[in-house]
Amino acid sequence: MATNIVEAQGITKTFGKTQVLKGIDLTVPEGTVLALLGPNGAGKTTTVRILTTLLKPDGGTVTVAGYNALREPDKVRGRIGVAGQSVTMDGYLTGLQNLLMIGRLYRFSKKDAKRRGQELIEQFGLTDAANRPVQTYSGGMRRRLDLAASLIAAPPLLFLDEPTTGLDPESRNTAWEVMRSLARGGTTLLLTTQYIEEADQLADMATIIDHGRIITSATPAELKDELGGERLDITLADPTAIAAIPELRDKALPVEVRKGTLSFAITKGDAGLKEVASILQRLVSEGVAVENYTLQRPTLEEAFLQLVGTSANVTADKDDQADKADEEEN
Amino acid sequence: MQAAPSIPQPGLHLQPQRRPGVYWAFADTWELFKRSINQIFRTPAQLVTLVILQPVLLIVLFRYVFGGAVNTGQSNYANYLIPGIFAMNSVLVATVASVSVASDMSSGLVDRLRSLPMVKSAILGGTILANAARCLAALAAMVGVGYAVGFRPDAGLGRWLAAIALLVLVSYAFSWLLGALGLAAGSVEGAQQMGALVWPFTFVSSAFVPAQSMPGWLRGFANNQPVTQAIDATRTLLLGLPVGNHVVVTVIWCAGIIVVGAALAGVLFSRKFS
Repeated sequence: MATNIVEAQGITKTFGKTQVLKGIDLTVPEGTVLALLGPNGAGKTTTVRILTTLLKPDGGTVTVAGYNALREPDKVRGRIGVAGQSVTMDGYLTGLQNLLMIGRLYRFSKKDAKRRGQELIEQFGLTDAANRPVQTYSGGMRRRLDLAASLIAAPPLLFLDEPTTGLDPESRNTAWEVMRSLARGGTTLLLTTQYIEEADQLADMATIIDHGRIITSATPAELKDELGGERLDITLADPTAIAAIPELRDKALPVEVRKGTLSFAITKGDAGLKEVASILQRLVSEGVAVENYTLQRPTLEEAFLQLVGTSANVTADKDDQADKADEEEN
Repeated sequence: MQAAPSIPQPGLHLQPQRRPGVYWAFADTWELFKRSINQIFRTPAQLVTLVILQPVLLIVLFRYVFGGAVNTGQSNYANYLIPGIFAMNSVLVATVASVSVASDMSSGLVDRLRSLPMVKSAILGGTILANAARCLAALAAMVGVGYAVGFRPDAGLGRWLAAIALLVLVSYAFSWLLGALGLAAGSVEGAQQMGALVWPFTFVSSAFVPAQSMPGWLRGFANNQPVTQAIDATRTLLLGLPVGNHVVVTVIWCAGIIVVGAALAGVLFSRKFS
């Protein structure tokens, strides 16, 4: 069994009067990709800041890359890379100068730092801009340089806090490629995201966090399964026609996926097949015209909204506070 | 981004160098010192107004606007005034540290640096040291203008070097204190106000007139505060006068200010990130 490169237990953190983290347990096996998924203000950034030694938790234990992050933070810092939401470069230094400085602060020799800096500049397509001050860079270029900087020490563990937020689709796809390439090479990734698709695309495990608590942790596929099986969507030629079959109308999910579409939750396996057959049979025998029908798995997005929606109902009154806390932490 | 770059894999580790901790304290400070110096040169407007225009204006103002009415008991007021302005400017330059530190703290760079296995005191240390270096640029301009307005020092190379070293030390010490106040201010705007705190020290001093000419209650403060000591030390060094204990007292003051300023800055820095 793979060893866990990140092991956190019972992390709590309070800013002012708001408890932002209410006991986070998190493990990341070496060589895997974990997506920490949650809406704004859920506590993702605070969690990452604690795991990367930038913030001290009020309670709990944190072991990262084999070291106690609270007692030996510098040991941890030498073994991780961090790319945050904000750009963390000096605007007056050139791209290459920034990487050189960071390489030197990682304790590499001048020669090594320079070679590594130039290597990364090239790999991230910044060769033309290498000798320009970073303040002349576009937003996308700065993010690339930031990611390059987090890879200077070729760390076995990389933390990426919302790595694609604010990127255009093309840059986002390239960022995904970079992350996949890193994961293939054996780098363990912990990334935070608000986008389910990102977790679905990249992660081996998705951990959903909201209001400072872990809601669930599963593979993206399990997460979908957890919410039941398939979903049958039926679009009628005349949406009002369903009134003729009240028992079907009552069985439909209360939400419209598209306007005029009825959706039915279908259980997994053989039972589900019978459900589908009986619904369609009923429509045919009643002579209700069906424009089209599809059977599909709910997307992770829907799964996520359902999970977060449930927890939001319980704690809706705390939303404002959590938002404030999120602003503070940013 | 174009084609996905191929990323070097972990395990291809570069080997960090192994040196004693003291070495890294200096090496890391040096790296961040270079960064701040670069920033100074990339913002020439600030360099010109704060570091050159301000001290030169001070010289012209006090030499010609007020100077005619001042009686210091010396035939050459420029000789009295200029060393005082040198020392006073070392303290005024230090006020820039409040703003520099506050703006560093509000930038993402500090997060990046804190995630590195570097000596953390170098984050502030580099900025503070670079700030003290600003006063060298100001000094070069002031010596030139000083000569033009009649400053005729009587000092050999040794005394000049001692005076310059002392002026940089004064600036370094006050930069730690003002840097700490910049941290306490919590924002760049707040930090800008901190500069005013040095005015009593720079103006109620022996820079323009001897303290003996002040009323008793003020004279006590003027005679016993560090900037007056720094001014008297600079003046005696550059005018070829007996130095007395001014240099030693100034160095002791600076050591004390560095200890207090750095300790305060350290506490505020770690509190900010807990």
